[in-house]
This record gives sequence, structure tokens and C-alpha cells, in this order.
Amino acid sequence: MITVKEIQELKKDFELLNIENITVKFGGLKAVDSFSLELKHREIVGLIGPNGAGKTTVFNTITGVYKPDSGRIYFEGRPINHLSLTQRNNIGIARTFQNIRLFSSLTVFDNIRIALNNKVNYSLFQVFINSNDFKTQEEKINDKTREFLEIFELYDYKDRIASSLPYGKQRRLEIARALATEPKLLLLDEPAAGMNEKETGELMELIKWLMVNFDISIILIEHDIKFVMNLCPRIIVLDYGRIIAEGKPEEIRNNKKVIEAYLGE
Amino acid sequence: MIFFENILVNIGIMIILATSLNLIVGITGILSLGHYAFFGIGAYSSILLTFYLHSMQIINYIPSFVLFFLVIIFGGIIAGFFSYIISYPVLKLKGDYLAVATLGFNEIFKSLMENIDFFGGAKGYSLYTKLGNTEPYFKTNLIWVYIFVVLTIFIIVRIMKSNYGRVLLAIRDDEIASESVGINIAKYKTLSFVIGSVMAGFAGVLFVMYDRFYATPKDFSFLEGISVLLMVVFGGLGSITGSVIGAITLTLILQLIKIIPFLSRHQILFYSFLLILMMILKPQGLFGRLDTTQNFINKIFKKIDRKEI
Repeated sequence: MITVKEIQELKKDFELLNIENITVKFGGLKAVDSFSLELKHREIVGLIGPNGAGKTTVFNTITGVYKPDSGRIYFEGRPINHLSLTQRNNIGIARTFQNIRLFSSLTVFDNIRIALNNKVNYSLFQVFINSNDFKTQEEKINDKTREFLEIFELYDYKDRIASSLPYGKQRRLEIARALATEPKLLLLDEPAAGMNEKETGELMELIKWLMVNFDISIILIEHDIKFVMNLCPRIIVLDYGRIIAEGKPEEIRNNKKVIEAYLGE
Repeated sequence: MIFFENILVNIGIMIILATSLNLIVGITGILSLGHYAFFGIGAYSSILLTFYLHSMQIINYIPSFVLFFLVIIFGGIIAGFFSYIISYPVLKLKGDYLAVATLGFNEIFKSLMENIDFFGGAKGYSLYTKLGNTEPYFKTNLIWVYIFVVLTIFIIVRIMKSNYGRVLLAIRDDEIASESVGINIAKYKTLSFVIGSVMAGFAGVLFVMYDRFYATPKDFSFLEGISVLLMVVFGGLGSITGSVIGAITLTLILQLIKIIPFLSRHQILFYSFLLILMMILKPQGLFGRLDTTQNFINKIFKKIDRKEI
């Protein structure tokens, strides 16, 4: 006999994120209407839909900015409805933002170092006396930051103020920062927005590379349909907060409802 | 000589107040207008403690500098204790609301002091008369003030060199982004607020134990405190060097205008004029984000490190 607990364990191995029928209301408006999603380990899912379809609201609900009015969210089999933004990041959910949110007055180097804030555990007193433990931990953080910046080809910009970077690099930095927190799930909110074709191509390569080298799952919101179709074997289409289609890129491309949602009847 | 010592002590106290307020306002981005309340809490708690130390005759057994050190620390701890308590409701607010709440706290403190007889009421608590018109066994001098000036600057610079400082700057830049990279905002904001207030408490003790030995509620009103905020803005939010220079120049200027009758009667006019002028000419403050104090102290540390190797 398999016990309930064992089933849960099996499920946990299988699924990273499990969203069950979440609904988010703003006043009378249902921004997200019974949205469900099961995400496996190392899976990449694209979330598309017309403007105002509720895509970013889904992200905000997963990361804890909004609490759902009904429905449950499980992460690795654990309910996370009650957790705050910070706690959700600590258990392994990281995100980027639609309108880039970097620590804009700080350097590129510091932006990454801040994302590593949970990797240090020295006390203030150790800081004051400049203890060896403090120094070695800082060294470690600096090395790790260097490593990250090299991976993302941002090392040459390390002393630049984040807000002075070109747009594409800022996006890159934001992704690097999210990954520096060592997430298991990465939510990318329109990563290619405002990028030119070359930058978009580079970004696509980067995400593919991430999928292979980091042990993560990705949910991706993007308006660039070509970009999504190229990257994501599974696509979910939202309209007015509801899922209107889900499946492989070819299925989505020929789905009548999807075409209607985008082009009107 | 006394006159110069007086000014130097004043400058030192203002440096402590300005750099600690800079930690809260400039570095962490908490617009606190209640800094002077913690200054006052430090002052009141120290003269009360000193009075009890005198009446308990402890002074006969312990050297006076040890006692005075303990009194200063005590003042800081009491200020820190109250700041910790009010940080819980107040730091949940943001921007203007937070400013108004801290301003309210300052006024509450002032009116409590005015209306509780135990603290001397509106006319203040005079340690001097309570001790039978004698001075207490220990008092502030230049050395004490500048020990604590150095200590304050040192602590803030070290914080800025570490993860703690980086996180505070991150919170100032973007709270939501900070949360999204796993920063416990409430914890770090409270930390910065309490550390800053403890330092204000130290300053309060040094202030009241220097040739005054009495504290009146009026000394710690919001209007008095606005000058410290002015120093921080003048020097540049987030710049420690700026706060130090701001404290020095503005204290000197304020001493100067005390001589001119018209200006001394309308100090608040002068403050506002200076603030507006600053906003127009150099909104980022004298030093902006430049920080030579930090670089200087960090260089010293690097030299020490090299010698160890």
C-alpha cells in the first residue's frame, strides 16, 4: 500500500510548482480567474495573452505581491499561500520585472552582491572588528559575484552605475541578479521587451544555456510570439484572466480562440 | 578658550547627530523627523541616572570616567529601546506617512516631558539644583565628545563596508526589488533605525552633561531638530563626509547668526531659506554620493591587513 504521504512525496519529486484554481480580484474585476498550472522540474512554460489579460498578476500572485482571493499555490508540495515575498524568494522563487527594477544608484557589482545577501552570516560585531570570518565571507561573495558577472558577460561593466547601462544590459543584469539568489523557479516578465533583434537572439541563447546549466524551471511572459514559440515547448494563453488555450506551439498557433483573442472576431 | 571649546563640543555633538540621521534618512531611506526625540531621551535618561548614582553614593567607589562611560551607554540603550518599540508600528508606513508619524512621536515625547512632573515639567529637569547647586562628579569634555564622534563614524563606515550596508542601500533604492531578492526589509530597517537612534542617545547624554546639567522639553522639539536634517541634506543624503562637513559649517553659521539680532529671532526663516537655496543650487547636497570618509577609513583597514600578512 502506498500511503498518502508517499504520494505527496512522489508528487513533490515530479512537480515544482502547483497552482490550483487561483482567483485574484481587484474590486469587482477578476484579474485572474481560476488559473491552474502544474510545472515540472526543469520545464519552461510560456505565458502569453493580450494586454491586460492578467499575466503579470499571475506572476505577482506566485511571488507573493498579491494574495489570491481563492485557490492554493504549492511549491515543491508545500503550500506557500501564507508566505511573504522575501520568504518565497528564500525557498527558491525569483523573478524579474516588466519595468526593470534594479538597484539603480548602485554599481553592477553591488547589484549582484546584494542578491547574495542571504549567503553571509556574520554578525555586526564581526564587521566592526574586521574578523577573519568576515573577510573570508566577503571574499567568497566577491568571487561568486565575479563568476556571475562573467557568465552574463557583464564583468566589463562591473563598476558602472546600474541605471547607466544600456537597456539590454540592464535586462541581463536583472536576470543575473535573480539567478544569484539560487532559485529553483525563475519568473521572467517580458525579458525581451525593448531589445533589438540581436539582443533578443542573445537572450534566447542565454535562456537556453541557463536551462542546461542551472537546475531551474522558467515561466516566461513575452509579447514577442516568435521568441516564445522558439523557447517554450508548452504555452499557456490567457485572456481576461482565464486560460483559453494550452499546448504545444503549433497547437497554439492554429487555435481559433487564440487568434480571436489577438485579432478580434 | 571656553568659547572655542563650547563651539567644538557643539560641532562634535552635531556631527554625531547628523551622521546617525544620515544612516536612517540618507542610507536607508527612512525619512525620520523624530531624531531629536531620541536625542532627548538620551539626555533625560542620563541626568536621571546621574542623579540616582549620586544619591546612592556609588561615585565614591568607582572612578568617574567609568561611571560616565556607563551613563553614556545607558542613554544610548534607553534611546535604542524606545526606537525599537516605535519602529514596529512606524516602519510599516512609507514616505510622507512615516515622516508625519515620526514627527508625531517627537511631539508626543515633548509634551510628555512637559506634563509629567517627575521629569520636571515644562521648566525642565535641573540636575544642578537637584544636587544642591553643585556640578556632578563627571561631565562631558572635548575628549569624550570626539571619542564618540570617531566611534559613530567608524561604526557607520564599517556597516557600509559590509553586507548590512549594501542591503540598506538596496532598500533605499527599491523596496520591492529588495524583497524579491530575499531581503528581510523589516529587519534591516529596524536595525538601521535603532542604531541611528542609539547614537542620537549618546549625543543627548554628551549634550546635557556639558556645562548644562538640565534638560528642558523645548531643547528637543522638532523645530530644533530640523537643523540636523538640514545638515544631512546640505552635505548630501547618503554621504558621511557630507554630513560631517554639513554639521561643521551649519553649526558655525548658526553660531554666527546668533550674534545678529534679526536673524537669531527668525532662525526658522533662515533654515527654510537655506534649504530652498540648497534645493535649487545643488539638490544632491554638497558631496552627493561621494564619500571620502569611507574611502579613508577603508584604506586604513587595508594597510592594517597588509601588515598582518
